[in-house]
Amino acid sequence: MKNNTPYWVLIPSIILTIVIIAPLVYLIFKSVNADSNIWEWIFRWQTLLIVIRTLTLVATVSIISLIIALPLSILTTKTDLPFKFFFTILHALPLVIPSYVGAYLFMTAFSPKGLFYKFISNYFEINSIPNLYGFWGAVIVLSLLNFPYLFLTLRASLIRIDPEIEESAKLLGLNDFSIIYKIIIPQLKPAIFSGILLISLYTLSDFGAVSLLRFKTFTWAIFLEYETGGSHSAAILSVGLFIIAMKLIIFESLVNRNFRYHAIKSVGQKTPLILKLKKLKIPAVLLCLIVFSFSLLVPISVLSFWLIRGIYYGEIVSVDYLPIFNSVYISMLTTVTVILFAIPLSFLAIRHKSILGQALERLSFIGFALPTISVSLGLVYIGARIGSPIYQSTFMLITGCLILCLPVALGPIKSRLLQINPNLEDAGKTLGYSNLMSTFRITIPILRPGLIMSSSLVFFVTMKELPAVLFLSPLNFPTLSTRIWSYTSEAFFAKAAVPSLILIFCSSIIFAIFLYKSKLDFS
Amino acid sequence: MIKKQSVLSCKNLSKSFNSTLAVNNVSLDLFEGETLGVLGSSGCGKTTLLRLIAGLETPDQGEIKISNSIVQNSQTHIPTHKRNLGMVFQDYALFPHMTVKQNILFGHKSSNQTTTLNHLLELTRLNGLSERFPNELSGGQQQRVALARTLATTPDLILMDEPLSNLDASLRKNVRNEINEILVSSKTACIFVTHDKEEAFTISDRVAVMDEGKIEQLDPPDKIYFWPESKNVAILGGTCEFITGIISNKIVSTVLGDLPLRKSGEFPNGTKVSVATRPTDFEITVSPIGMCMVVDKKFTGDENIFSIQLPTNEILQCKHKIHTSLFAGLKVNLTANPHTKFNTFLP
Repeated sequence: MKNNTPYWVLIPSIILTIVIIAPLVYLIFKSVNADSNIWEWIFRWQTLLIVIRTLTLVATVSIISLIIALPLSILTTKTDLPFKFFFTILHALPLVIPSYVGAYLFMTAFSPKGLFYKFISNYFEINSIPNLYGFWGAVIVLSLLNFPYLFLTLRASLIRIDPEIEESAKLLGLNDFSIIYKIIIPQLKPAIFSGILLISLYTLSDFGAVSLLRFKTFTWAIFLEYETGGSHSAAILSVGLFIIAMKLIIFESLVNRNFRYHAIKSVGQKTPLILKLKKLKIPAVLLCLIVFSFSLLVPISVLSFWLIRGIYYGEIVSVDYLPIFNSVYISMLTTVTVILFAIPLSFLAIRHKSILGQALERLSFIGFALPTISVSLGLVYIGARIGSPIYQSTFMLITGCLILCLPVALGPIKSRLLQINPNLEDAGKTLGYSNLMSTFRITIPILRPGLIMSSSLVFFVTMKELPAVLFLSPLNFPTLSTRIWSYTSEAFFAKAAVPSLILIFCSSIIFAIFLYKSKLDFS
Repeated sequence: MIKKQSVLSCKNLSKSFNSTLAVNNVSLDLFEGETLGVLGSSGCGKTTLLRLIAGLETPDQGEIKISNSIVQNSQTHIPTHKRNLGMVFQDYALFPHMTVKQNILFGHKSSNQTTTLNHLLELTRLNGLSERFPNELSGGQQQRVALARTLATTPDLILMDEPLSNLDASLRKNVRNEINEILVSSKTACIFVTHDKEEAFTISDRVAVMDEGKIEQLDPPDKIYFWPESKNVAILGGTCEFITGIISNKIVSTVLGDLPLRKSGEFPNGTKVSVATRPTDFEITVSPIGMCMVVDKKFTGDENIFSIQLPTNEILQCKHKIHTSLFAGLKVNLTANPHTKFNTFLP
């Protein structure tokens, strides 16, 4: 078969695949070449403990997120819950709080002698509250901040359930609540698994929360090894982390393969089923309010407390603009780079189903499994090998962010591209435009909503990104995320409030654009 | 007679996808101002043939000439945008992000845009709609925008892929006539792919009947109907039932008597053949001792069509007058209409 893939699609895709695979290959290479005494060090009780800790954290966070997200997503789509739109936004918003900000607010509020203790000790006679550092702290922070991934995935799936299926169930004699159990939830299974996969991967690669809450999982262990010069052991741990992530992805695709037949039909004019909550209305609203309080109200209140206190005691004198500038600068560069690579890769995946194309797309999927810290570490070592001008350059940081953000960016672009009739480009060709011109005059403009969604997601993820910036940024290159992390690690809690607030504010704006665009896309 | 200029000439075109032959050794010629209908059931390769001519697919072998210059052979592949042809897609493929005006002028490269636009809006009766977006138009209007957009590039040849199949039955006839008028007045040669024989017959000067990637017959519509060269063409060209018969000289003997042959001498005497019959070929007469029986009646509005069972248990479709007292179970006789001649094929 003749390969018709154009060069503007093929070349960036090949470059991208090399860039994605290089850090991993380097880490594997380094692990294999490690001394035998390092391998002995790896195979000890401590390492097994790290594996157990990490997996327990991933499982617990996933289950708690599901317990929170499932009822909320059904309530906001399939019932007559009051203020549905309002609650939908509120339950998506915790995503704007980075895990390290969440951890910082949580630890200052709920440490044994923290804010919460001071607050209740005014009323009750207690010495201190139980220590919630470590496992439970990480579980609470990560569940409360990550459940929106599952919430949004489930919602998207719920909105697309064909109302005719619900209507037939009704005609077959099912009552409203058995429709939920027997019809709606079974159809959600693929979404539940992919949402849980998403949360598992985020939990697995989370560095900010576990490092601040002192819970030694893979990521923090890798960081500690790296800091103390154990480059081989850090490489081995990184490969281990990658293997766990890969296994999760394979597990998800195996489970979900059986569900893929669910056709996504456009809902069109049909009115979806709306269940009457009746007596359950007040408990339902209360549930939404409780989740809102813990995931948003408490963090924002604690943040405001530190801000006011900092200004009052003169700890916060002025706003430092450099980290803001650096964060925005990096995010913008990353967004442009990612979009420039994501477009050709999406075309390769959807329009040019050649054998080479499929192989490249599969390989680039590895990016999805690569935990941030593994990517960053691999790149750091490669950079150090090459030396200047690559090592500790902005180029390196952007490359790292490119690998991390690519899977995020591909989603909206690919789904939009799937909706575009390939005949449109053929029509352009019959009207006298070359292949390339047809693509740029026709497909790219129609792709724009997908591009905006992807850009906002990438910008958002890069703004929050911590480990990649810690590892890869040039010297003396503070960003909002690194500032917050270092202030918090050194217990300058009031000082951390300003960058946190700015970061949350910027993220909220970008996130609002994303929600607005995706809303348009669904209707 | 002035010899007409050739607009398109295809020689021995073949194309296969994963070992299935979609287009099998197709040759055809098209002359200026001519409309060629390609008739075939779905999956017979007619869309692939169009895409090969358009250059959207590359043939495995064969040659294509447009206006006497080679655009495709084993050495050359002129890309679509340099072939100066237009294509109207089954789903119209209007650009959703552009207005009617922008769609129409998309491929129009010369400077007199307003003149062209007004002329085309007039021709396709789209006046006043030029600022609308495609999703604000009816199916028939979208179809005319697609046609106007194609005409704006003044192509040597227009390719139409089932352009009417997405329209309501009630609209289809009107749009069909409109397309016909527009093609005639713009004097553009056209290949029109369809699975609907009525469409193919009314719009085309010649019809190519396609089956399994091959052109079975390429002739004017009446010839396709009356002189089908194969059983397949007879079936694709109109409602057709077969009865068995034996050839003897200029006639074929059947259970319904001796029927005159259209082509005598095609088969030797005594050959067992299938005789193709059309619903208009026989007259029904009621008779208590009739050897045939009415088994079903279909009232379509404009006509009555009866299914008649022959003594051999074969069933024929016969048209009958609209006011009739025939009903299922009645004994009848069938007599061939005078002047009707019959086509025979090997069974």
